[in-house]
Amino acid sequence: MKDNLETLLKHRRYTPRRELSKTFTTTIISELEDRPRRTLLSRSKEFVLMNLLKKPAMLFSVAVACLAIGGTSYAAVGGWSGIQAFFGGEKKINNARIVSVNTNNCTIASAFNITSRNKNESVYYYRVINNSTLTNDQIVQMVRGYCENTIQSQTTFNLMDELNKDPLNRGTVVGGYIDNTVTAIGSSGISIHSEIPVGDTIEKIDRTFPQIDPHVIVYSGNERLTLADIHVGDHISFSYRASGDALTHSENIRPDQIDPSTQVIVAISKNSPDLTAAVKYQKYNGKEFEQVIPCSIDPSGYCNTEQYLSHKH
Amino acid sequence: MRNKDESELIALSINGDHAAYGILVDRYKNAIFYHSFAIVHDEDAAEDIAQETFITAYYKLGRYNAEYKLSTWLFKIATNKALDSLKKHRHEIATDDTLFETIVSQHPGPHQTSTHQELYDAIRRLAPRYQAAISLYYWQGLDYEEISKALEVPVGSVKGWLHRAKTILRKELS
Repeated sequence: MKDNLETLLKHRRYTPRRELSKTFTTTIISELEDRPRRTLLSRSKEFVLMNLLKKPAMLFSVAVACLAIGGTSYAAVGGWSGIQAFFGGEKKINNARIVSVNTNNCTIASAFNITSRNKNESVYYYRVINNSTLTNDQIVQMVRGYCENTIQSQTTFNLMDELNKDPLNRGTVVGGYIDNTVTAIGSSGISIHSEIPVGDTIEKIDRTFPQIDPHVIVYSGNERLTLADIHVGDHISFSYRASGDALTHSENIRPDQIDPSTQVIVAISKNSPDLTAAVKYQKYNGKEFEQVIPCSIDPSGYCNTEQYLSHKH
Repeated sequence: MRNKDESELIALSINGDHAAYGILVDRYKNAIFYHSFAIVHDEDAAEDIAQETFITAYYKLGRYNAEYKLSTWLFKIATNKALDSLKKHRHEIATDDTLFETIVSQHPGPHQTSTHQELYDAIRRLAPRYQAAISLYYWQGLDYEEISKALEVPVGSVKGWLHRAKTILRKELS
C-alpha cells in the first residue's frame, strides 16, 4: 500500500455522485442581476478600475492616463483641464444614430481598448436608439465624464500607497460610493444623498457617516484639495475603511445596508458635473445607447463590444 | 465570446457584463465543485459553496490580483468557504456510507474497491486543510506555489501538510 499511495492519489479522483445542476450558471447570473449595478454602489468604481489598470493589457492605458496628466501631477491647473471632448458627427442608421465624439487626452476603459493602444487623440462612437431622449451634447458630456473618471481612478490608484501608510487602512479599504450629493459636512462627519439606478428604478439613499479619517485624502482629478474645499451641494465619490460586517462581508452586503459607523471615510474625490452626468446616464447604457466601433462585420458598419471581441478572435 | 482571452472576460465582468462572467463560471464551475466536494463530502453543500464562490468572486473581481491564475484565486475562495462551512456545520454532516460509491474506478475488482474505500475513508478523517491540499495537488493539478497562494500558507507548509497527510494515510492503510 505504501508504494501505491502516490499512484492511487494521483489517479483516483473522488468525484460527487451527481453533476452540478443544469441551472448552476444561470442561477448565479440571476443572483447578480438582482443586485444593484456594482460599479455604481456596491463596489467602488475607482477600485474596479484600479484593478483593471494593474493588468498587463491595461498598462498602455495607464501610460496614456499618465501622459494626460504628465508633468502636472497635483498641479493647480484643475484636474480636468487636459481633457477635451467634442461632437464629431452624427450618422443615421436603422432605428438609431451613430454619434462620434472626438477627444484629446481622453482614455476610456472599455472592451475596445483593453488590448489596443490608445492615442492621445481618440474618437469614440456611440449607437443611440431613435426614441432615446439623450442628446448629442449629453453624449459628449458623458464621454468627458468617462475620461475624467479614468484620471480620477488613476489618481486613486496613485493614492493607495499613501493610504496604506496608515496600518488601519491595510486590507480594510474595501469599497466606496460613487457620485453622491453632499447634504451636510463637518470636520468629522458627512451626510450624503445618493440616487442609485437599480434595474428600472432609482433608489434614493440618505446616509450620515459619523467618521472621517483625520488624514482623509481629498482630491479632484489629479488636483489635491482639503476637506474645506468640499461643500454642501458638491458631488463626491468616496472610499471607506471598513470593520465588522462591512469588512468581512463586503462582497455580499450592499454598503448602504451596513451600519455607517463601521465605514470610516479615507478618501473623497470631488466630481465634476461631467462625471456626475456620466454616472447619471449609466442607467441608459445598454438600453438606449452603447459604445460601438467601426467594423465591417455588421451591416450597419459598427460593432458593439461582443461583435468586436468575437471578430478579433 | 466563448473563446475570449481570460483577461478580457475578467475586464468585461468587472464592467458589469454578466454574460462574460457566465463564461468564466462555465470554465471553472466543475473544478470548484469537485474541490469543494473533496473537503465537505456533500454534493448539495459543495454546490452551494461553488455558487457562493462565484458570487463572491464577482464582487471581489476588482481586487483580483492578475499575477495569480484566476483558477488559483477561485480555489482560494472556495477553500475558505468550504472550511468555514465545516466549522459551522460540522455537527450536521453525518457519515454517509454511500459516499464510498463516489470513488472513481473504471473497472475496480473486489480488492481494488476495498482499497479505494479504505483510502477514501482515511482521507475523510484527515484534517480538512490536509484534504484541501490533497485535492488541489493531486486532483486539481496545482503546484506547491499555487497551493501556497490558494491556502494562504508558505510553500513549506504545503509540502509539510502533504507529507504529513501521506504519512497518516500510509499508517492507516498499512
